Amino acid sequence: MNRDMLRIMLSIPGVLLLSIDILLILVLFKESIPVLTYEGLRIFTEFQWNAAEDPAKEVYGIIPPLVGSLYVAILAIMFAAFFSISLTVFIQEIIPYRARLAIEELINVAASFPTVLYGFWGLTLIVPLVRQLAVKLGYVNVTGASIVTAGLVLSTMIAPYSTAIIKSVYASVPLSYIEAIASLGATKIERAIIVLRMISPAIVSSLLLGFGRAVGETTAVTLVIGNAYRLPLDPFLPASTVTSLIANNFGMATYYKYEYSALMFAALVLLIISSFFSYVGLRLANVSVKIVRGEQL
Amino acid sequence: MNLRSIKNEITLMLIALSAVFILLAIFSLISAPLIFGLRVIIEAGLPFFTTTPAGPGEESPGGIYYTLIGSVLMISLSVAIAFPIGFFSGVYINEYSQTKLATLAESASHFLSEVPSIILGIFIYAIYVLATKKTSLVAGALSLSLAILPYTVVQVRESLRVIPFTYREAAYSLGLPRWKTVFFVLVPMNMRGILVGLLSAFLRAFSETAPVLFTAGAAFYGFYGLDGPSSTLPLLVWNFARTPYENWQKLAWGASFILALVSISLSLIIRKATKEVRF
Repeated sequence: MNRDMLRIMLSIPGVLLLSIDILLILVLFKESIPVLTYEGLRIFTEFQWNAAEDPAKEVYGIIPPLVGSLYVAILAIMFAAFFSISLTVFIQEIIPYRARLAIEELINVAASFPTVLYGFWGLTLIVPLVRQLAVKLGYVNVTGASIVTAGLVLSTMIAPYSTAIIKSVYASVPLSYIEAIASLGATKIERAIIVLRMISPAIVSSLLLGFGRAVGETTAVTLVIGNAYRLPLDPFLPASTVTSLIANNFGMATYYKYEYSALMFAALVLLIISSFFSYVGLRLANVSVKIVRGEQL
Repeated sequence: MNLRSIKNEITLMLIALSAVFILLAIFSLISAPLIFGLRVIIEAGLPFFTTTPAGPGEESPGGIYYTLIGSVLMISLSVAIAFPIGFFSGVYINEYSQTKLATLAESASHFLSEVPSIILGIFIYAIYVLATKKTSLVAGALSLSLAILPYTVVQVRESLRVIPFTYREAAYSLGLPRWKTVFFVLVPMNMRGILVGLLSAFLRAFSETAPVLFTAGAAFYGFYGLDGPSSTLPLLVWNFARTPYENWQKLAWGASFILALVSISLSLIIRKATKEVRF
């Protein structure tokens, strides 16, 4: 009798969790309806974002910021992959144990560092650096706030997180494998490559999870991307992402007839994309756990 | 030196180079607010904590008094909302992990943790701010609580899951009912893990910006009660870092110092406490 009571009482917060999710999705859907009935599929074909006092002149297209989001996130995980794999090998194979502990503390602090500080740091340090680089490459009148800046700042944000995952899987590869590799006379780097290949699902999964974070990151990106509504092709020019579009326009959006709704739809599309990547990432993470346990070898 | 070992040395060197590069980036990221911020706070002195932001372009940066109050209240309120829900959901998911509803609740919590935090903010905007017709401290706390809820669930669930089954068997064999076993044996056994969960909830609420962008308002110059607009430290950094005025940028650095200091100390404590748990 008691046990059933416990189960019933405890299921209340569980049901609450479920209802929050359902309500969240329903609200996003419901708020998207006005703009969809107004614009229809044009929301995917228009390349302008025009909030006008006259509702008939309002035009909203979500493709440019959506491409911006994906562009930035792909750049970010490419950089992050490079950095976190080198960092893992560096920690595991190159440096002595004590230095390893210090670096782990640093990575741990960075992983939970407030994102707005990443943004402020990017604004102060990375933006001028990218600007110098862009000027060397022959750009004129660039501020340094751009797609590539956002990608760099985001990769710095993801790298600690994915390094932590990759490193823990790297360290958990059974010793017998390492011994087998060593007994064949492999050099350090050959060993690292074999181990990295073994744990490649974990690497991909950590990067996919990072992708989900990168696509949804708001404050840091908005501070360094330059916030120009355009279809981003050139990585050294300012652009916008779905999140930066929301961050910049949401405050005033309810003054217009459809802008609020258009932003809600953009948020819904973003949510679908980021959930998809996180889901795939998580599935792969389960695969990599099996591999380390030796189940699939 | 054969070709293989040369290749080995060169690759190791390149890897070390790029690792050092990213470590330097992370180091500068963490030290920038500490160095710049500390300088600002020392220059401004005590008024930094007791006054409101100065006007744009003035000599002094002014202070963060109301933002500090807003931060403390909003964060405490959000943890007070999210932690109990997260705690009991965590217990539920762990205790009844075979039941369908618990599995669903676990996926729901996981989904919530993957929702971009800005979307949590505009969700609360849609259901609360629009209904009450104003941004408020409570609305900010609500959106923050959505951001920290899933982390609390995972933390509590993990703290209970790592306790070996034998302890549970021992409690059952003494004739304890399940609820007593959970709340009087298992939870106290890993109190540390649960407190770590509470601490991480604080840390997360403390450092999130996006959820409160459109829900908390941006009231840096006064306190308007729980149902009035308020502000938090990240919101202040976000607002003033983007301005071209030197004294406002200084203000943002000063606030960044406090953000960085609290974030660093909390994450060091959390990591140390998590490491020491052994059964």
